[in-house]
Amino acid sequence: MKRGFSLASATLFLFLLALLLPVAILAVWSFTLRWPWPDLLPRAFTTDQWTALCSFSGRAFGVVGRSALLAGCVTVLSLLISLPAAKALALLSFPGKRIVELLVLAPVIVPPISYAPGMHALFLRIGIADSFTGVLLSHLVPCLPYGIRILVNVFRALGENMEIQARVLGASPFRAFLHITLPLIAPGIASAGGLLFIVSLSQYLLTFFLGGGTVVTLSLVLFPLVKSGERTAAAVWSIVFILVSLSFCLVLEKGVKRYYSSRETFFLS
Amino acid sequence: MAHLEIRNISKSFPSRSQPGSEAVLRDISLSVADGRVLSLLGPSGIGKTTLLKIVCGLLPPDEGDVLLDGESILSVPVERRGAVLMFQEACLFPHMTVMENIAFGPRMRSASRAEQQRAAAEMLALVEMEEYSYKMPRELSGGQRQRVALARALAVRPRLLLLDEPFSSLDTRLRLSMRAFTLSLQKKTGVTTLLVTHDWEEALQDSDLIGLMLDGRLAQSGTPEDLFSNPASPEVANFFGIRNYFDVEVTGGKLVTPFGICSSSAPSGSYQGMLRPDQITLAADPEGKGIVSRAEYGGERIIYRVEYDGNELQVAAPSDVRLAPGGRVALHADPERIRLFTEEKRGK
Repeated sequence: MKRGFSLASATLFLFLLALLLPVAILAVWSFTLRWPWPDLLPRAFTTDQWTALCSFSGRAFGVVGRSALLAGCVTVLSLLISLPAAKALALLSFPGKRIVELLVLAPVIVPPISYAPGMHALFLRIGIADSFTGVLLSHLVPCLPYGIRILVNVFRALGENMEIQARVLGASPFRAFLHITLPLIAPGIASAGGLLFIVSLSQYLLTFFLGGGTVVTLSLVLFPLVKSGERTAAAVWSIVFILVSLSFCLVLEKGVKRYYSSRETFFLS
Repeated sequence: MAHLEIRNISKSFPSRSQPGSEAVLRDISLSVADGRVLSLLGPSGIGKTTLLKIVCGLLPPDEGDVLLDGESILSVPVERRGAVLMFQEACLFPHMTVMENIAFGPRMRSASRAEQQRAAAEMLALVEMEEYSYKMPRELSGGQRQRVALARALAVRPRLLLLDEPFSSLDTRLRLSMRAFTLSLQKKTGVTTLLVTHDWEEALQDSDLIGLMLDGRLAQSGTPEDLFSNPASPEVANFFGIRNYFDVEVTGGKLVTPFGICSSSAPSGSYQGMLRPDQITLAADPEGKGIVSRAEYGGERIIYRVEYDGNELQVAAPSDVRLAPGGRVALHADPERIRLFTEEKRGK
């Protein structure tokens, strides 16, 4: 039997290649001692960086744990703020709605460097500069636009009739949200949560500025390594970075899927 | 079950096109006795749904009051009003089984699990859907979903059932059977019902009372017979599709019409007379004053458009009376039955 050439499968193959090839090269780099140009493969291998990572396990775990905790807190807090904001933007009409919609997107357009120093000065004054709390709050700025944007679409897709239906059947606003709206938008919340986690995890500038170098996260470890050309160490930490964000997304996905496996899932599932 | 009274409700929304606000409801008063069906009839986008939302508490009125059994319910929150709203679509909760959907109301009222089950089972039997308890909404057909939605609404033993253009998402045949089914359940349970519709035939057939809303105002309210036979204004008549107008004159207690003369108590002057198509009969007559301009075959009857005295009149005839366009006819009607409207109130 002849395998027919299919544009779709070719595209998929190219796509996978584009995704996996850099990771594969990263994996090779993490074991490389010397890789002079123009060799196709490294000339000498080492496991030094991996053993260093493991022997410094205290530090490594500290960095990974702090990063995950920070990104997790940012994700939860962003979702808590985004949910009511997105619901209002999606379902209510009020004066100045267009302006609010624009302002909500502003942090994505404005680069962090333009507001990070000002924010640092403010945080110094109220005493949360150079602290976990300060970094956490600063991460909300780049995260909220994504959270709100995604959830606005989720709420628009859901509409308000389901919740109204629950209300007239005797559910208080809170219970209508808990029993009807929340389960229906859970897949959307999971999508938003995954993205927020990654956005927070990748923040170098804000973490550096607002943490004053004392809140050491994955980005803060990785960035100097890349800058100073320590490729093997950078590759090792990059892989750790990828594993952290990947496992968070997997946990989210599995959690939502298992909870709704026998149920109807929709809205950005 | 309850007696509903809507008193002088007004509501306006901020206008999109110009500064200020646009009145959607103006001074609406209606009342419906326990166990009856009141239809809110009117063209789409005229504020009927807004009125429903005010009654069930989703919107506050600017002015006026809503009373159930003589007590104002405006301060009662949505979830405790006992007024259940049903939308055009069934709006079943997609993540719950049929049984869980129906038990949702009792569950929110903190009924015990056994009570929830019993209520749901009873309602499922009522809508003849027992064998579907454990199905998910997506496994049901459109009609079945509507039945479940109805069971879910009735499971909370509502004091008021509010139907917003119910079943208009179903096809015609299914809609007719769902309407009949819903009305039979309404009779069985005796729940006071408010039905929003733009379909006057549906309103005439289904309701004990009709409130016809035009342009945010209550144009007329009364029994279906009342509205159809005695429209209060040409606008009301127009809504029921009646456009038969002709000039008449009242002089000294006598009404002079193209259909004859009779006595009238109206003050002297010229008026617009109106007759329904079924109140006029026609017969082929070479000497007649009317000329048939068009015939519209409608199954049981034919609507003839007849040029008569400079007016175009619609005449309903049994479908075995066949007349060719262009033929001369004589029209007959009882002048006593002519409705009079003052000239300037004539509709378009």
